[in-house]
Amino acid sequence: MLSERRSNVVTGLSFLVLAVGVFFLSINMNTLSILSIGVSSSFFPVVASIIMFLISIVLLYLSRKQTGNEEVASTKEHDEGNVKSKQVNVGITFVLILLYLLFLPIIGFILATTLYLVVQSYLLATKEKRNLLMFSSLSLTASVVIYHVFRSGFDLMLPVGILG
Amino acid sequence: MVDLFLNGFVSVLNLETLLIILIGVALGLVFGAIPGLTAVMAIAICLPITFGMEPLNGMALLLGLYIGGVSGGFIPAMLLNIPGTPSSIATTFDGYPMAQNGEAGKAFTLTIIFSFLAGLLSFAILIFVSPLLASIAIEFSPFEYFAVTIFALTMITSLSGNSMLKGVLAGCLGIVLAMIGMAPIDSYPRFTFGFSDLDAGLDVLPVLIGLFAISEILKAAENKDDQNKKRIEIAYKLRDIGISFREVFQQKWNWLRSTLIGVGVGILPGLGGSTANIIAYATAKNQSKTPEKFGKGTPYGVVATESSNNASIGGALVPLLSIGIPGDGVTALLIGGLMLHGLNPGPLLFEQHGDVMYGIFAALLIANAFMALLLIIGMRFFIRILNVPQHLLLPIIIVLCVVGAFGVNNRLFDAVILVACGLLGYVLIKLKIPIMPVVLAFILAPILELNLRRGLMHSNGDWTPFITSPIAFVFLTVALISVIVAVRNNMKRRRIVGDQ
Repeated sequence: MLSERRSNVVTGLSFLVLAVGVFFLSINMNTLSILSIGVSSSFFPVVASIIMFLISIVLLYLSRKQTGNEEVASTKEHDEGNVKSKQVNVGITFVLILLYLLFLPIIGFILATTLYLVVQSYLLATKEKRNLLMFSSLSLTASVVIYHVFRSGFDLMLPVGILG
Repeated sequence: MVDLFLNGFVSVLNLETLLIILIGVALGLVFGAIPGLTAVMAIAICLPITFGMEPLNGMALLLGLYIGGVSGGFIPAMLLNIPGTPSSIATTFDGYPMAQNGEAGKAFTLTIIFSFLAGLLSFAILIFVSPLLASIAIEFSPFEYFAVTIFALTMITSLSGNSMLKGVLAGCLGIVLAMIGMAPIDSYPRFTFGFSDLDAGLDVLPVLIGLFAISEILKAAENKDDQNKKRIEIAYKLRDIGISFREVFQQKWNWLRSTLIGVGVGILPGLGGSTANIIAYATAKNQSKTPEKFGKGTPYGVVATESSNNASIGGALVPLLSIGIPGDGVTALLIGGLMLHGLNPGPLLFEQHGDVMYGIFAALLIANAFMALLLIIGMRFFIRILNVPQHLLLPIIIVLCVVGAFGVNNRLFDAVILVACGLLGYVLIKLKIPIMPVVLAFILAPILELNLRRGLMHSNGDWTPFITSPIAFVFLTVALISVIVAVRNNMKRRRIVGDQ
């Protein structure tokens, strides 16, 4: 976890950028003049962006006053290697899901799901619990069951892909 | 009303609906029992499934999941000291010590009895209050709706956790997300950047599943080693299940108080079982003649928390069914469930679809009974679920989320939105920004905008009716007061933390 101060700074800066972006995208929105009642389509985005802008400034100002002491304490708790390996796990999981979505329409639901489940389970399991044979059979069973339940049970047209 | 209610029961008492409720409750209990999986996630995954069902059956499944999901959380809370859902946080205070003292069986039995009774009372209140409230709300014009929605939005301040500023930022983010797509009334395409897929806006389902479920799974991926270490073999023997009538009877005031707290907290938008159980626990402790026993394994603590969290279900459904305003994540999803079947949540529901509404009431009562029954019969099975390894479970849940998002409009685009929102949710968790305000604002902003613009068209751009309408005035005043109180409490808390 980030320290309180650093999380406030990152939050403040990102919302500042978002607020400015939303504001400039919104001010040019036109509403038909016949529907003009003082509140157009741009009203809510503009209000939200102004509130975001002001609060981000306050957050950044307050974080300036926070001391860096807790930062030192909180980074000491975790050793850096551990934090890095955790982030790599999240990154790989995210990329895996994206690849899964990419291949879903091409190779079809059953194949893509089986492959995804095997790789994802392998990644999440600790070394001593990694058992490729068990993962493969479980994954194939799960994807076939899910496919048929949704396809015939709920008439959901899941992608068939090259198998179809 | 009795006729309508009996008709409701008749429409539920068939094998198909009963089976659907049973499956819903069982699945909900499983989700509630596994730490990290919640009722919200269970409902999010199953929501698309209900699309192909009759409206009543679909809602019966979702409500079964809701009741099961809230109820199942006590199992790991008592046995592992990990609350299965946020609704069972306070159960760990006394439930875990009770289990450690060899009284797990007794704690389980008390929980089942009082969860059931609390559900019963809260649903009775729901059944009597919501049609009354709906008959008042049916007179609402856009001015009143605007004020009620503003009031609901101010609940963001109480959902913000430690930092109110971040809570408000999260709320603004929810508003911006809700603005994507065609604007109401004039259909101006906002923030679509030329993508026609975005014209209809972000569908509520992928956004919710992404923010709640995918983000949690990404977090679990991060903690894989820690979680595997935590998993210990559970060797509890559930002896000593029997308790005396006297032991049950002496909890009556504690139960009644906690149930009423649960219903009251549940009715307020923005609060739910997760707040109710802590307030009920604190009140039980304050009212007790022996407060020193709390935290060391007193049945009073367990009864207080487990009554209040089940009671909050009935409470949370009151504003949803009578006004059409969701109070929290679960009720937001239930609104999605109603909309999937063309039922527009709000006061007109009782007039136009009275059969479905009273069917829903009957389904709730049956689901409550199934919950108790399943827990009594299947206690050992539910305990064993705690041993399912996360590395097998989580990937399957991701696949189910993708299938669910895909099923909304039968297009892959929604699955992409799902993953994007999952990443957004994960980043928010990392930055210690609460997710609930994003969701609440995402659901409420379109209602707010529509009623503001409708109201102004009624009044030709005049803002005064928003204040001169008595109901709107009351709600706006209450909203203002609640913001002031929340800001004051927040500053007080900060000062205390600063002093320490």
